[in-house]
Amino acid sequence: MTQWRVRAQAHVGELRLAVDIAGDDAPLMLIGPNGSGKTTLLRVIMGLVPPTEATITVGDRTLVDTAAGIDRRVETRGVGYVPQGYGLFPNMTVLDNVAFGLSVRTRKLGLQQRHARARAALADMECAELAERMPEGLSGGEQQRVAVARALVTQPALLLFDEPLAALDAATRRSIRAFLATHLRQIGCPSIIVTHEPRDVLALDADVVVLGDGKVVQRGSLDTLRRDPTNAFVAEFVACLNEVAPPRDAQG
Amino acid sequence: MKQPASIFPALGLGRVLGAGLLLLLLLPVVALIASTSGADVAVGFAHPHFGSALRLSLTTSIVSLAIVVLTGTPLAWWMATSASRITRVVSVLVDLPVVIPPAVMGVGLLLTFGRQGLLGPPLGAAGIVVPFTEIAVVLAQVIVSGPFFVQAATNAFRKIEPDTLAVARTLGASPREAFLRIAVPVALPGLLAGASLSWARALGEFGATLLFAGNLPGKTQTMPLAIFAAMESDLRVAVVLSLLLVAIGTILLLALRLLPGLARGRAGRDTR
Repeated sequence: MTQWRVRAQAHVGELRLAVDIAGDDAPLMLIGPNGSGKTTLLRVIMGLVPPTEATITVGDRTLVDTAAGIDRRVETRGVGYVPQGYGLFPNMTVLDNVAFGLSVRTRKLGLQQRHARARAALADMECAELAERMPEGLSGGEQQRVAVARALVTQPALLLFDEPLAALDAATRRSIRAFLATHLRQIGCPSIIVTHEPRDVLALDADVVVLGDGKVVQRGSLDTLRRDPTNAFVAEFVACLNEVAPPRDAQG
Repeated sequence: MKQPASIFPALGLGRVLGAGLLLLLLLPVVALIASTSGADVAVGFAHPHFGSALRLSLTTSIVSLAIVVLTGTPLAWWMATSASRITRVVSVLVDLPVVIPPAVMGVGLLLTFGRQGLLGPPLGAAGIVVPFTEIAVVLAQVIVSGPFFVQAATNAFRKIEPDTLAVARTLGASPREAFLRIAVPVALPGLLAGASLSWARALGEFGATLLFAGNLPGKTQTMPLAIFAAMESDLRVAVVLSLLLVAIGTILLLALRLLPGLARGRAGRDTR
């Protein structure tokens, strides 16, 4: 079981981010209105946005501790990232996309070894047949699986998703949602998932952190959010769920 | 089979006018080819100034292209990725040589590097003479051709999805690795197009070179200047030099069309 904690303050434009959240292997969903700091928080964790003050620990590794002068560089943090548009490298085949993390200077394996591991990662994501394709011709759902395989192949300590399902059509979204729900539990690595879709939360049965104006305004299970929404945003978020699906206990 | 009707309205008179411009663009090239016989070509090639002008043009334009690519690529990367507002000002500055006539740039270069120029005294003290040398030829070419590469490279870098570079970093790539293995290959078609245009512009540079480097056969007389000189002595030499430049330009244009496809087809392999 990996414990992680992110305590961070950062100023980006108008936004003043100040959060303190912790978790373990269970996926954590991050919701909040536009501009509430969800993506900025991910970027602080990755090391792409410098915090004014922060301590970020994953397991027994300290990624950032501004007080102690520790600030690991992006490439040594071991934080996996699946961006909204998947960010596949358009100049490489799917196999080379996935093998990229095994070919960087600090972690360079032989060609055969990295291709074998990349193929295994693709097989884990049930898309081994895409290996020789170029990203250009892939569907959204296929790109999603490749992006997850690519992030997992380097065995990250923490996995970040930014709106993983936003770019998919409704049918693909349903199948990928179910797919992520089963796989994220198996991976055994903590994950933080930014979403605006209550159904994602429902499918993953995860804890939810609600951001508002750069701060954590509520944290809890979906049921907690439904029973006691802390503000209008949360109330609307869960209300729309009531319209589309029966409560969980009625399902089961 | 009948073609489907276009959704765009046809322009009756506009077509004639457009065809007129096209004709005007083509006619000089046709005239150049039509007015040359095999004997003329032989005379042109044999002329003492032909070989030296060709050699000087090729060497100086290749040197200036190397300088433009080496200095222009980092500048373009900065303009494409920096959030700073200074980039907008710089972008205008970079474009200045495109709108300022080359002859004016030539005067400016003389006032900078000439004996009485801005940098004249320190250069003179160091024993370096710039005007009317090969260095002047290269400097003139760099200035007039640089903007074409920098703008093309900036646009090519801007089209890269920023998240791809962020992902590369999280996967363990240093900024340099992410730049060389993702940004450059993805932008390569645009970089090649910019380099080709820039090289063509350097090869054809005339005004700034004439004023700043002079027209000394064997030393600063590049092909466009040799054409200018030959017009007064032997038109055949001018025509042969012109045809050669037309051929180089045509090959460059064709390469521009074909290279992006080739680059895309080859870039996907990781075999190291």
